Formats: sequence, structure tokens, C-alpha cells
Amino acid sequence: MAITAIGFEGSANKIGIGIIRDGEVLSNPRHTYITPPGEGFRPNLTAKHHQSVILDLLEKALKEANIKSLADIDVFCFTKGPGMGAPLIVVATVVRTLAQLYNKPIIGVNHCIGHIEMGRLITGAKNPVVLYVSGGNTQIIAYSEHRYRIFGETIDIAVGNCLDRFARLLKLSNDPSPGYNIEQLAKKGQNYIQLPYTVKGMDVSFSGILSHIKTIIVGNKQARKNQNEIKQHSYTNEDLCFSLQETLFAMLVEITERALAHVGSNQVLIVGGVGCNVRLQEMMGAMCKERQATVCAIDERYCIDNGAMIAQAGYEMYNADKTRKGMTLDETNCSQRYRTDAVYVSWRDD
Amino acid sequence: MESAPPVYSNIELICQGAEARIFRCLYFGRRAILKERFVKTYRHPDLDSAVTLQRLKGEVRLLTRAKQLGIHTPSIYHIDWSKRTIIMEDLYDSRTVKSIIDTLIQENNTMKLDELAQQIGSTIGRLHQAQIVHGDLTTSNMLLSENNQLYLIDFGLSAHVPNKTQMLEALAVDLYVLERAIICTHQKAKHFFSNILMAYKNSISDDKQRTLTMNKYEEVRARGRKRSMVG
Ligand SMILES: Nc1ncnc2c1ncn2[C@@H]1O[C@H](COP(=O)(O)OP(=O)(O)O)[C@@H](O)[C@H]1O
Ligand SMILES: [Mg+2]
Repeated sequence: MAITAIGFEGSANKIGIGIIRDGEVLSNPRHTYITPPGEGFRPNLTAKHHQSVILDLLEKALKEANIKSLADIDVFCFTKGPGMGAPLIVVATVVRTLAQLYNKPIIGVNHCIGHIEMGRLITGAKNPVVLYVSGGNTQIIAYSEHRYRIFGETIDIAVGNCLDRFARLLKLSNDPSPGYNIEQLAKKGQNYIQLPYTVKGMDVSFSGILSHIKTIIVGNKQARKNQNEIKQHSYTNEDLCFSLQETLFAMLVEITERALAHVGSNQVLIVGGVGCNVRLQEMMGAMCKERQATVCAIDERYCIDNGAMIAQAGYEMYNADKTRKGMTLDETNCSQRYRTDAVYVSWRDD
Repeated sequence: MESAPPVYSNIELICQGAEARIFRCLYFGRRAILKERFVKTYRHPDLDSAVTLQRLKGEVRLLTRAKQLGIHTPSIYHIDWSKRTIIMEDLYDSRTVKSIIDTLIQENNTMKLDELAQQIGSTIGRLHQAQIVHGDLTTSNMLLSENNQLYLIDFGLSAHVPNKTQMLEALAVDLYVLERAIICTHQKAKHFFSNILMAYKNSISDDKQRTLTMNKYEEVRARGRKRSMVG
């Protein structure tokens, strides 16, 4: 019998609802909370946003999937964490209510696992080394003995966070996302500026880059004020975007290569919002080519946070448990810090 | 006139490591390893040459320093900066600690595993006592020879950190990197890392230094667990 799963995702500034039936995506609408240039998204305002659109989005998801009633859904899945508390709770509350109204099982999903399982579904990658890069996460992950193990990660800020903060410094637009706008500007960059490059084993550090760029920007402003100064130290925004991307992504590709060598794998899967950056995919491809490996990347529909990924991971968890009971209500609480390796992967036995 | 014989010959690729290609060759008729940090086409050329030069320098300098401390490392025969290669002693009768652990687990040889952990802990302890961090402590970068000598290799990310506060942090991160590499790669080797840590602690003679280092290590671990992961 086919299993139809619905997934609700709202751990950051996007809210998405997706419906999946046995690996086939029936619908996956999403709405993004966009803030003015120079501003990040705050938890309570983000939660308000999610609350205001969640029911319309649900209607859209059902309609696109051609599902008449929530009674036809077999399992309700939502993001348990990690993420921002207030938005997580808003979404979880709606899901708990709906599932109880229709008397259906509930599954709380780890957001990172959602990305990984969706990536495996879409690309068919069996056992890849996973680079998970998003606003809040930078991890190198490989599966072993029923867990997704974190081989490497950022020791300070996430790569997406670094990009977002950089965009705020330059007052770039947040529409559709800061990362997208950086990517477009970077294409026009001419000059490569050396930035701190910090790799420690399979770990990386990005905070030094940001403070270095701050000094460059201040220097630029000074140079512009002081007409007499030689223009030598003045870089364009395009140059900064270009240099930032080249440096950040080179570090990510390097630690991915280190993980490939260490675990003896020849397949890379890139997931998370930063993963739809074409330059990152291109660089990863070049690295893989040198070692007869392949890279699997996915487009923005599934790279960026979405509901289908939560439905897919939730489906796997639900399906692996032969009792088909789902979680108890007590287990459906949210957890702002919920590590990828905290989840026992019951649905894989390789 | 006869042309001079090549300095090295019989070059044969044996593996591609984390950043370099490793070849076996003959260097003046002697068995040797040629480690080539080939051009990474994914990196901007300026960045690539800067990073590669730094890694080459680091490897040569700290491999030599470690050897002076009495830690087993391959001897360096030759460096070719333009070809980005290092030619060094071939530890041909050794295997990576990674594969040795796998074998020992299959054989259920806990005694040998404990002994190995002890060796690793005291070797790293000795390195750290000299304010040197390895930078990439994984079991792929440790070799065990036929006669049970533990060798450390791959010093490209190593550094000498004389500054006291920076040093504590660097040592702690080095240990934390090793812990995670072991937990991720060798789940079945129970207590392996705690045995390493025990031997490591015992190798630090100064009580105060030991406490400071272990406290810092706990702090770094806690930081890792607490990192918020929004989005
Ligand atoms: N001197 C050596 N003798 C024998 N084997 C070696 C030697 N150096 C490296 N190797 C082998 O090559 C692998 C990769 O070497 P390494 O120096 O770690 O390069 P990378 O920086 O690319 O990881 C090691 O794991 C080991 O198996
Ligand atoms: Mg190595």
C-alpha cells in the first residue's frame, strides 16, 4: 500500500509544506520571509510570518497534490529542530493539532536528516559524503553504523551566515536571498583579494574572513572620502563578492576532499541552501574529476529548505517502524539544538 | 656525452590522499615516496599557490622538528618547490593505523588495541609538549611499521604555536579533531579514544599544564556541542 506523507518545515525564514507518496513529490510549495536590506530575520517576526501563511500554504499543497482531505494523509511530519525556537513551535503546534484532529501518526524530523534523505531520493546517491551548507550549518557528513556522522564542521559561524552577514555589510538585497545576489555580483568580479583561509583537519573557520572584509570596507570608505588617496586600495563590491566566494568555497571543497580520502568514498552530495550556488557546484565538480569521483547536486527546489524533505525523512522513519504508531505527543517537542548525529538511522542497514 | 641519470625514476602512483598524490619511486636508487601537491583547478591560481606553498613549508619544517623530538617520521630526501613535491623515505613495511584498527577489531585483539592507543596518546603528548600541533590528526595520517613503531605523517597543516594562550586553544582543537575522527571512523573500537587521552595526560609531566590543557579541551568540546544550528 502506498504511503502518503506530508511534511512541514519552518525552522528558519522559509516555510514549506510538501506531500510525498512513496518517493514521488506531489506538491512542495514554499514561502519566504524577506527582510529589508541590511537586516536579518528575528525569531518572533519570523514566527508571525509563518503563522500568517501556514493555512493558505497547506491549502495550496493539498490542491497541487490533488488531495481532497487531510484524512487521505497517512503520516504528519514536521521539523523538530534544529532551528529558531519560535518559528519551530508555531509550525509544530499546527501539525500536532491537525494530526490529532484526523487521528494520524506524527513524526518529528531532524532538519539536517531531511536535507540528506531528500538529496539521496532526488539524486539516487546511495552512500555519498554529504556537504551540508546552509544559513546555520556547515557540516561534512558520512553514514556509518546507523548514524550520519559529522566528520567536519565549522568551528565558528556557518557559511550561509557568513554570506548573509557580508551581504548586510554591503547592504545587498535579501530578495530572493543574500546568497543569490552575492553569486550574481561575483560573476562580474575582476580582482582576487587574499582573505584568511583556515582549514583544521576537516574543520573550517570563517569568522576571520568577515572581520578582514570589515577592515577592507572601512578602508574603502576612507579612500573614497580622501580624494588625494591613490585608488589602489579600493575594491568594487563585485571584487569582494568574487573573492569571498572563491575563498569560502575553496575551503569547503578542500574539507570535502579530505573526507572523501579518509572514508574512501567517491561520491559527493551537496545539500542545503548554499548548495544551489552554481560556482560551488562547479568547484566541487573540478575536485571530483581529479579523483574519479562524482558530485550530485540538486536545484533550488530541493536544496533550499522545503516541506518535501521533511515528508521524505519522516516517511523513512515511519516506514522503518513496523508498529506504525509514530511518536508519542511527548516526543513531538521541538529542540533548537538537535545534532545530525543524535538521530539513530533505523531505515538504513548498509 | 651521456646524459645524467634522472634523480628519481620508476615513478608509480600508489594513492591519492587528502590533498596530494602519492607515488613510489627510486631516488638515487633508493625506495622513496614522492608526494605531489598537484594544482587544484577548483581554487583560484593565486590562492592555490599561496596555500600549497604554505603547506609544503609547514610539512618540511614540522616533520623535521618532530623528528628532532624523537618522534618517528619519514626522513625528507628532497624538496622541489616548482613541482610542489617532497621526496621522502618510503615506510614500505607499514600500514595506516586506520586499517590496522579495522584488522584488530576483526581479530578482537583488545590488548593490541590498548597498546596502540597508548602509543598514539604518548606520541601526540610529546608533540604537544613542544608546542606543535599536527593539524590533521586522523588515523590515515599515522602509520605503524612491521616492528610496531608508530610514525606520524602528513604535516601540511601543522604549526608551531609558541604563544601561550593561542597554544592551549590549538592543542585542544587538535585533540578534538582526533576525537571526532576516531568516533566517526572507528565506532567499534570502544574506549579507544579515552585510552589515547589517558596516555596523553600521563605524558604531560607538569601538573598545572596538564590541568590547563584538559580544561581547555573540555571547553572546546562543549563549544562544539552547543553551537546553534539555525536554518
Ligand atoms: N612515507 C610514506 N611511506 C609510506 N606510505 C606513505 C608515506 N607517506 C604517505 N603514505 C601513504 O599515502 C597516504 C597519503 O599520504 P599523506 O601524506 O597523508 O597525503 P595527503 O596530505 O594527501 O593525505 C597515507 O595515508 C599513506 O597511506
Ligand atoms: Mg593524509
